[in-house]
Amino acid sequence: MLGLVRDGSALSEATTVWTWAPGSRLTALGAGWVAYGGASGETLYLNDESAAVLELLRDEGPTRFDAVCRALAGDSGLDLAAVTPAVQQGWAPLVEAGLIVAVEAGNAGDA
Amino acid sequence: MPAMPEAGASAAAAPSAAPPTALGAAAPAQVRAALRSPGLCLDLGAATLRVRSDAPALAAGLQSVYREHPLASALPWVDIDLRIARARGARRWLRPLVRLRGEAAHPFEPFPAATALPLFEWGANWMLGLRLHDHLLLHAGALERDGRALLLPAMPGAGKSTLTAALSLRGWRLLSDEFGAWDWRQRHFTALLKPVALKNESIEVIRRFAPDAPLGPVFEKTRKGTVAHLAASAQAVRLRHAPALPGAFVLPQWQAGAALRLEPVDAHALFGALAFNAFNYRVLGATGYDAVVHLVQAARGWRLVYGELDDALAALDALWQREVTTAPG
Repeated sequence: MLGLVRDGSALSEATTVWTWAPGSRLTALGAGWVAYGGASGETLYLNDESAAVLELLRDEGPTRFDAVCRALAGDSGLDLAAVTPAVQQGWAPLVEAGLIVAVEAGNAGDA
Repeated sequence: MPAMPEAGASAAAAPSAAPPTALGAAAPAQVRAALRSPGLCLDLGAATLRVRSDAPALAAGLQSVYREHPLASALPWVDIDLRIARARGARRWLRPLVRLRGEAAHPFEPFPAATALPLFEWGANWMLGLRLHDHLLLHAGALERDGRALLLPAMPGAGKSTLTAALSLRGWRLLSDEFGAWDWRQRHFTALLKPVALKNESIEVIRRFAPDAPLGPVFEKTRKGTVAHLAASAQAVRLRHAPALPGAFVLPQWQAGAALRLEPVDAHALFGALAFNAFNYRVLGATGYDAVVHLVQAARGWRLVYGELDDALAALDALWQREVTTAPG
């Protein structure tokens, strides 16, 4: 599953911008999170890190991978070097589940 | 496709001030005639069905386990249209068989003719699960008390039907032993009122629990072992359209000799127990997701492990009193 995101360099390409897939859902329930992928119809249990990525893309709009990592590092007070691998590890399931989708940078506004 | 029974096909459809005859009280010849043509219609609450059949054994079976349902051979609309027909061919002289036909297909292999009722029950459940997408269909026993629904979601073998049957014999209103039919537009549960299907040891468990329980005929050596069906009460039939708001979700697990345990289930885990065990969660897409989220936020969940039926009932009564009856809103 994790291999679906080609590699870290693809994620950090300046032209690749990611957005919350239309129709997706994210809900905090009890001790965890559940999400519905608008682009796939799949339901996923999420950990806090993946939920934070989704929340950010939902609330902030189209964003580059590196900008997501910087924002989460800023919010959490953790080092960017520690946050980036954790975000990268959770990225592929989010793409696979249709929760986030890549958009062209030209269509993404100010990412 | 759903069928519109022919208008005026039955005296039962004609305007009348008299209450409808209960199926169990009808003359057997009348039921057999209705089954042959135009069909026997059953209003289950959240759905209606029509069955047509020339199988000799079916009429008596239906009269036994749908004894309180009204006799009707026409309804304004039927959701499910089934036919159970005697199999043709030379084999019928050696081993009489019946086949179920629904939605222009034969979803099951033929059954022995004497087991037409179990074939009807499984076929009807199968088609309800396929068709009834104006409801989220949780795989759960469902009962009502105080206007609130108790849902018992479980995998096969967990004792869901036995517990549902026992509760229905102790004052809880039966909604279904198989479907928690959640109307996601109106936001309430509705009955899908069919008999409770009991298998193997659970038949004797219920006989001992309630010697007067209205059990139908026992069918041995079916594909699910020995089966018998518990008829719904007259009150449950009369109230089958009455809505029930979410009350509690209890995930039952019967274990021989187990001491009773009743523990809260986190909402996160409850979501999975409802969604991934529902018949049509994936079909409903975002609507199904929203419905399950609503349910998990509207009512709490518990896990019940029990070895003795009476202990389980006492624990559920106490839980209900503590968490539902006296809860605000």
